Amino acid sequence: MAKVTEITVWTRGVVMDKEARDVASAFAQAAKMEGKFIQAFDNYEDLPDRVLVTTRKYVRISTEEIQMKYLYVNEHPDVVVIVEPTIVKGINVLRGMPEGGLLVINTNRPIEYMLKFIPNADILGAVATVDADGISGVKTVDFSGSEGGVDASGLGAGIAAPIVGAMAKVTGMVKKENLAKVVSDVAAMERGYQQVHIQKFHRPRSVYFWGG
Amino acid sequence: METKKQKTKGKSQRKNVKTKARKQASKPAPKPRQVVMPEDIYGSISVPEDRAVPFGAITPAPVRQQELFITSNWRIVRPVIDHEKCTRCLTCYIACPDACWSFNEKEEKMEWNWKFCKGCQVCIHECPADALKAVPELDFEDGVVRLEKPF
Repeated sequence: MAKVTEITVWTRGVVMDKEARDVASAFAQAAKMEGKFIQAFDNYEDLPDRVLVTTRKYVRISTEEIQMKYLYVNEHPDVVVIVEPTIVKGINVLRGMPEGGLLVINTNRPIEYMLKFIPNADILGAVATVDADGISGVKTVDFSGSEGGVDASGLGAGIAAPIVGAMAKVTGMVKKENLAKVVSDVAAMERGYQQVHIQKFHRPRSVYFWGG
Repeated sequence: METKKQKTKGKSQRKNVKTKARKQASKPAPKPRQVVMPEDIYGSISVPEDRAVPFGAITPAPVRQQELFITSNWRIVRPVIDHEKCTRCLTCYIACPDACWSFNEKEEKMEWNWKFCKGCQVCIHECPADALKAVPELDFEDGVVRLEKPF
């Protein structure tokens, strides 16, 4: 079996549930357009998800058919995406990450400040930040209870679009052109692609070269 | 005996009741069942692994803070109090759903429990003196819990 790249998206339950689902779905769909095999699914373990409780969404991308059928958690995520930056204070987001992983945070704060809250950051290969809240200008708070289930705005209408743009730039797994076909807010995706900040550490990994 | 009972079934039930009562009165009263309680009942229970209860099913009595259920990683904003504006009306103490506000009688000011505050902002909304303010949690370097699992 070929290498399966595992991506975990951390988010807040209910209020930002749809954003994280959009990140997972849009990134996986764009990878599927390039002929890769994908799995993208919601949280199964962190239930019941309540307002503001941290939950996860998962993506798996591989060049061959993915044989991981009955595993509902990415035990060893290569990429961790944090949709709401305060999560770094409450959860060990890098749990299970192999050395040289990538951390993508949606924040407008400097990278050094965010690393203060991550004491095990020495296993990271790179950290990237993108100010998705500032780019899309949308505070996505939805207390309707539908959690995006009946939402007609499509994939990536809110802060998900800049985040997937930044992920495409830093991971280099999908092309920007394919993402533009998937997300509804293409301009925000473009700005996320261009305005991502990345800091690499001296921990190269043979499989990935973060930074595009 | 059974055949006799079946025969007398059709007759009045009062008679049966009376005879039963007489029989019971003649019997000696049963001794109360004695159950020996171990001294430390909670420490003496050993459960095999396949019958272990899930997380949170058994907790210590609620006489102190439950360290198992720290919920401060739900918080995006934190209520910050201005002690000069505060009138000690204890509205925040009443309004808080998690009993995170308490009154310190020695220093005569309100105290905030960072471990269980979820950042629901009810106290900020209810404060009549506008002494409370919502500040982003990331502005502070303290208040880190870093749980291994979401809950």
